[in-house]
Amino acid sequence: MQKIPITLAEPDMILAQPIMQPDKPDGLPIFGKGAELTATSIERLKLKGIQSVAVEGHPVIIEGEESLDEILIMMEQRFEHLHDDEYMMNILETFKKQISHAFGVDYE
Amino acid sequence: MSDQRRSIKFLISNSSSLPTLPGILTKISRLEAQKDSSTDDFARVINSDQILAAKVLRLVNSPFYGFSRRVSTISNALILLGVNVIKSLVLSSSIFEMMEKSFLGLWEHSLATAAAANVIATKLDLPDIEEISTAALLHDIGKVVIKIHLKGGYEQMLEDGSVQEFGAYEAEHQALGTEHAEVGQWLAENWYLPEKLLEPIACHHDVEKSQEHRTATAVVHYADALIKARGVGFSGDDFVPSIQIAAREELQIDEEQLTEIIAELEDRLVDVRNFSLDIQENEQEDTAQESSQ
Repeated sequence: MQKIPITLAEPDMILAQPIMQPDKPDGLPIFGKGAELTATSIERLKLKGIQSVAVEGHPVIIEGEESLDEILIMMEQRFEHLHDDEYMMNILETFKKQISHAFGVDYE
Repeated sequence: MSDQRRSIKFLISNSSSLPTLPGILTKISRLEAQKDSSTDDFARVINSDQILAAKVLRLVNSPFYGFSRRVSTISNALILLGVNVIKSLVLSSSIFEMMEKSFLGLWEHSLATAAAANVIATKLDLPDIEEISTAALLHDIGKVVIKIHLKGGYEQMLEDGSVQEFGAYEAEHQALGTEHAEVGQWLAENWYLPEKLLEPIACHHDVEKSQEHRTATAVVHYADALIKARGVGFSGDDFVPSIQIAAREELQIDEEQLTEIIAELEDRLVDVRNFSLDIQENEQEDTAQESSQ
């Protein structure tokens, strides 16, 4: 799953999370999970003031955004001095799992 | 007291040396002193400065508070977030502006830490979530004062090799005889911020020291460490601190909660990045407009 600004949404992308109405967040969603975006639906979302959408996979490479590998390597480097700290290493592992998941990759 | 420490304290008490505080402070303090002041009275005072009111609303609607509906008036913001939070945002607005312009890494770190604190406090079902998020937004405010005091010297100090090994906190202590948490505390005292906000700012590097508001302090400390671990923004060093035992024991976050907190945080950080980019674009437009006039 990747969360992207609405300005980067494109037709054929599949929603990974439902889009709720900004003025009625507890009401019925505008689009449900699994819906395919179209040019018309993207325009409609923009008009409704939706800022970002969560889509399946990781279809957009945002300029300046690090790749999954880069993120994980840098995180490991930041934790180098904490190797003997079980609590902190568990935090690192949880981050690695969740970030990989957000990139649509299974983390072992 | 070392000379450096004394002169930083003087800088805070002599408010003309800091980015201009909104003149509105006196009016708000006067209203606070009057027992019969209503939310509408506070709203009227803040609305009398439209630019300030717009800045406060922009922060209220930012992703770290996580409201699903847009808050469009100061009156609603006061009801939702309370006078303490709105007063803190008003008082800090000039410091935030300075961060956006010349300490962007710290601004992004502060926004992300506020989002993390909001996620943790919500997951643990704590009371006063908005106050905890605001304390997290303000936790490094002392760094801005130190930067003003040292002029160009702060960046120079941070380039020292020991900073990456032990963190900016230790480097500040060695060089100045004080550090940003204590300086933040002086500033918060000077602004008469409530203890609920002051203690997490003062004790976010030493949770054990916190007495009355240890839970809020532990959340801010935890959030700060998570954001440093994730590498969002730059608060002066890349040093990831080990989360202190006092914070671990206070919050008792279990495996399942940690997974949910980090998953929710990853989601929220996308909105924080977009929010920060929006602000930068607006800044650039404002600067372009000013220079064309």
